[in-house]
Amino acid sequence: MTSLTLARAWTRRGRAAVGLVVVALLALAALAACEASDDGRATAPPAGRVTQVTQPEDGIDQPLMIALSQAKNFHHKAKVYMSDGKPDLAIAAVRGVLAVTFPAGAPEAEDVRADARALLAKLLLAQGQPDAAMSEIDAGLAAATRESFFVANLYTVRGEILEAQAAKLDGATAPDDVTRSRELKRQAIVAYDKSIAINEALQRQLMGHP
Amino acid sequence: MRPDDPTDLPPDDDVPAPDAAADATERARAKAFAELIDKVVAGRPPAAVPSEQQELLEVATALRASVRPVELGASRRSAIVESALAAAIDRRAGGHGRVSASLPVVPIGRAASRRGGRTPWLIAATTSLVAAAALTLWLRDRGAPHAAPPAPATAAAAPLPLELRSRPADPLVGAIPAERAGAALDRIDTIYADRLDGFRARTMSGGLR
Repeated sequence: MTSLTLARAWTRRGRAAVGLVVVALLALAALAACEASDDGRATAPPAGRVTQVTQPEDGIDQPLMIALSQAKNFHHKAKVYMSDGKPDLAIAAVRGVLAVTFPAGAPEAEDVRADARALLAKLLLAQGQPDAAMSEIDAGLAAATRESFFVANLYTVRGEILEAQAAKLDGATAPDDVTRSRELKRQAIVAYDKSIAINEALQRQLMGHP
Repeated sequence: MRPDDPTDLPPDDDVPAPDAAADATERARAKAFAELIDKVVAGRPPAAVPSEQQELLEVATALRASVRPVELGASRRSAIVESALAAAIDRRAGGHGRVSASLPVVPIGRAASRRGGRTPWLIAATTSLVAAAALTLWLRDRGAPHAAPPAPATAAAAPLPLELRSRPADPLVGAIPAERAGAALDRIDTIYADRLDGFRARTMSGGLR
């Protein structure tokens, strides 16, 4: 009888103790979860290398901002000259963008120069200088180290130049002109296709679909 | 300069000025040394290390050890706790507090089984106390202003956020439609504005890193 009473008492105490343990563990688990969520918001150190530090040239710095500012001003100058009916001065202003010194290895430099070459080519084409325009495109493509929307734009302008050259031969009856016109149109389509392909690949890449 | 100033050393031609920009050679040396540290930390030390790098490596290892907490293994922790308990029992019994070789050390697990009747209550009380202490500490931390600056080691190791880095402008500009092929002015304005934001964020968040 006595032993039964003791066993019952122990069972009650045991349950209460186990209940306390469960409550305490739940409190600890909640605390751990809060701490873990805090860690998730913090910037995690890089994995793998303990000596991985940012190189000075990686960050946006004053030389890069100065170069971008100069390129911006040259473009604005070109716009003013164009609105003033002075395309030659506008072309000279855009050439100024190509002379801007960017920090070595800055990816923005390649983008800005490619864009300036594309604009330069369009201005030269509008001035009736398709060969000079094509030279700018070729120079821009030769300087490209990676595919970008700016490189795709260079191909687009290349297509426009070829299309304009072909259009000049429209209505020609000489067999050589007809053949030349057909070839220019074929090359224009190749250039446009290349531009489309680059754009599609980059958009897939940026959206996380390699 | 004081005559007894220990920093008043004769000039060394090989040591560049503190504010001098690192040249390519110095960067290459730093990169090679960083790779060496990575290998040592990863447990893959090279077979031989030049003596001048060996000294630097020792300093780097000491620095790393000083900023990282050392975790004891479970068995080591257990041994230390048991040793401390044995010393306490010995002291209580009138001993000098040191664990003698003749005194048998009772493992925690076995001792606990002898006190089986009190075990649930002991566990419950200890766990509750720990939980309450942890909760109190956590609430106190939440209430206190976060004035402590980040540890220098973490700041040095953290990579620069993308928006503060020089990078291709493709995500910013997107695909350029044919009718906008010559709109370079709009694009340079966009790029400039974006990079200016990054530059300001970089300079206003504690200077250029």
